[in-house]
Amino acid sequence: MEKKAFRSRQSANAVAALALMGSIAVGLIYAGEQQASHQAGPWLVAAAQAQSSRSAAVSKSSPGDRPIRINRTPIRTIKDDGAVFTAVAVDPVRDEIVLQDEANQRIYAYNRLDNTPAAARMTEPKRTIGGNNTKIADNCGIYVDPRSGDIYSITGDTSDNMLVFTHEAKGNVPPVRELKTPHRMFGIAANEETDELYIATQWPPAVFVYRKEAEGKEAPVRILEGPNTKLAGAMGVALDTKHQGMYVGNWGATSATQEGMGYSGLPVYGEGKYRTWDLPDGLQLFFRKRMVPGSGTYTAPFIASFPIKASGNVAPERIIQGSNTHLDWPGHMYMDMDRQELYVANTMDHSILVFRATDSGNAAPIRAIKGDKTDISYPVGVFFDAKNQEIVVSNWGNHAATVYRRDANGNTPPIRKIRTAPEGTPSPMLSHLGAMTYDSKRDEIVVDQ
Amino acid sequence: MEFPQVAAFARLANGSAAPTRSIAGQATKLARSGHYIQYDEVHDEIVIANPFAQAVLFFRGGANGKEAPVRTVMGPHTQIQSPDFGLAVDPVNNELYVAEQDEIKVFPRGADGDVPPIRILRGPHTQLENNYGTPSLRGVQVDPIHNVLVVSGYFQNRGHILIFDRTASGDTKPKAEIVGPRTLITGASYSLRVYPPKGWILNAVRGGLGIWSVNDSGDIPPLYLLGREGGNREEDAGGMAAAGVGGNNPLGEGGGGGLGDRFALNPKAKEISVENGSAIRTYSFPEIF
Repeated sequence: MEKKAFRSRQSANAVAALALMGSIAVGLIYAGEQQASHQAGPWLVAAAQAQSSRSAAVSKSSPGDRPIRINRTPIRTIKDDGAVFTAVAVDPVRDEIVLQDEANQRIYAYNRLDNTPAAARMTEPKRTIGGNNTKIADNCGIYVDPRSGDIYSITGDTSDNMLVFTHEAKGNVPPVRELKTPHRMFGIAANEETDELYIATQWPPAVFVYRKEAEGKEAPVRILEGPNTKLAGAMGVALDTKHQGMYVGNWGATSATQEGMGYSGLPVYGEGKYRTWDLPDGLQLFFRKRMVPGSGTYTAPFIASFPIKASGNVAPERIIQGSNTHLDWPGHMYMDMDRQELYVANTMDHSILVFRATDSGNAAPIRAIKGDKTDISYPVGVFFDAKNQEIVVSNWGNHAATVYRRDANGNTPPIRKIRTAPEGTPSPMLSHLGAMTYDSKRDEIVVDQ
Repeated sequence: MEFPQVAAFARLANGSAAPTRSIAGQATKLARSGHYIQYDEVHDEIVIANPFAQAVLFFRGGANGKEAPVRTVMGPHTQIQSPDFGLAVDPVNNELYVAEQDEIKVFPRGADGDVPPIRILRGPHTQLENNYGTPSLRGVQVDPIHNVLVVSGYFQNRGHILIFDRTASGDTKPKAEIVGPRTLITGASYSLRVYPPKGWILNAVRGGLGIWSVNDSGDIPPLYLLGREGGNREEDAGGMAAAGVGGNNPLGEGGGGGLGDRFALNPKAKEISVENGSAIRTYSFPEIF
């Protein structure tokens, strides 16, 4: 019965489509080709004309004629000439702000006190790391080791690695270390007491804990994952080593992994720094069909807190979630350990939210930097500089990193601003594009990333 | 990949232009890893997947800002597992195709919520399975004029294009396979496209963007090979397709002579827009439309 009813619906739909295309063809006759094409696309007109015969009118050519080569220069290019920032770290020892530019796949180091004058076009960075030899791509997370000044760069997509550069690295230089990581990494935080790095991956969601010196295919020393963790689209991660807490931001979309197909199920070989796992090849083979079909879920965005040593499939101690939180695609996070305050780059709310570390449930932030005077636009990264008592924000939307006093609240202007393009320059806000299409009705190129 | 927006740019936009609109935020249900997007001009809708939630999202064609999708296909009955590869909407026959690793699920185009697929194409004869190496499927497209389903993928670790009858179901052999060294296909493109009025199949290859006929079969070079001036040498990578998964060029320079892997056709203006890392380049190719 259902099939019959469905066929009937299909038939009705086909009739409706034909009727629509018929009207398009009529439009073609009366309105002229260009206008009709603009309304519905020329190939659909052709589809309408071909419905009865299903004729295949395609060009024929002998294989010897192939290929006909046509080379062109682009007639237009949409590209951001300035840098837009994803992640930020402050090196308090060397007095530098280090920023990730995912759009241009580069890392920039600025003097911490740089402040672009209003009339200036931009501020030149002290150092730029970028180019083929650097392997930097989809660079979305950053950590700077305060002891060595080494820069750790997280790759969020195709390369699946963490790259380490020395403090002095400049230009198109190779990393001094490379760690192969699972796919879709985002957040990174360091435990300076144990020399461990915490890296969050979005999906399947997990937090991996590595030795800080890990490289190659070294396996993580701990993995936090599984349904009890409630992780769902994990993003930023922050640590409170004084109070032994770990905080993980989540966007809320996820699905369940098949039994035994978590990251922890991947075979591991060896011990210590020779403890390796099969990335990425093993991941491809081992994790085929790893998700439970149709198990996808959406929940409101949230921040889950765990003990800093949490491992395996453990439940969070607390969750901050609900309408009072104003969370909307929360990005990177950072902890003020002395005050036990958690800073959140709340990307889609154009705000920096501050929560108490002990908050739970539908808690409102205790402070929020937000408003037109703040110059915050699509903030993705935030860093609390404990030495200088400043908050540094990396903005995706306005070619700027902005700096605020620790206690900034409300619609507060930044005390400094590093710009990479003239004030008010629009940004395409593009990074690694996932797909493209053309909207014939609005004459627009539509992309997703 | 921290900002997975759907952004629209005016066709004539150039330089450091802001999008005319951007769909982004919690309410949109979007996430990263959407490797396919289609504008359905008959129904004025945008379709895209959220692989994390195993969901296919339909938006109004003019959607903007923190706008929710008008329909969401997700749930246990959908059997959707990992829709981060190809999607296709057939606006003529009102069907939605979801390509997943080694099978293609077909839903009614107007499906909403937890609905089962109306047919599934899978099995060893389909050549959609790739038991070693990367999962097979990447792109899927429907040509409703020639009544074919076109698929790009890996099989035995080489890229190929498969052509099925549009309504193929179960463990069905493809009608034709375009594969071999003369095709210049090395990897598998997410951004396979068809242009039904001419019966074209467009797919990124080593050296550029290859165009075949839906009637082609075997180890046959593309009819057209579109490239960037100063490039288009066969030894150049043509984007991710040529390099295989992970072939992203750090400088976003399209790997040399190739145009790039993701692209969009504009038949009205006879243009092709191509991703180039974080840039969108638009070329005029009137010959192929």
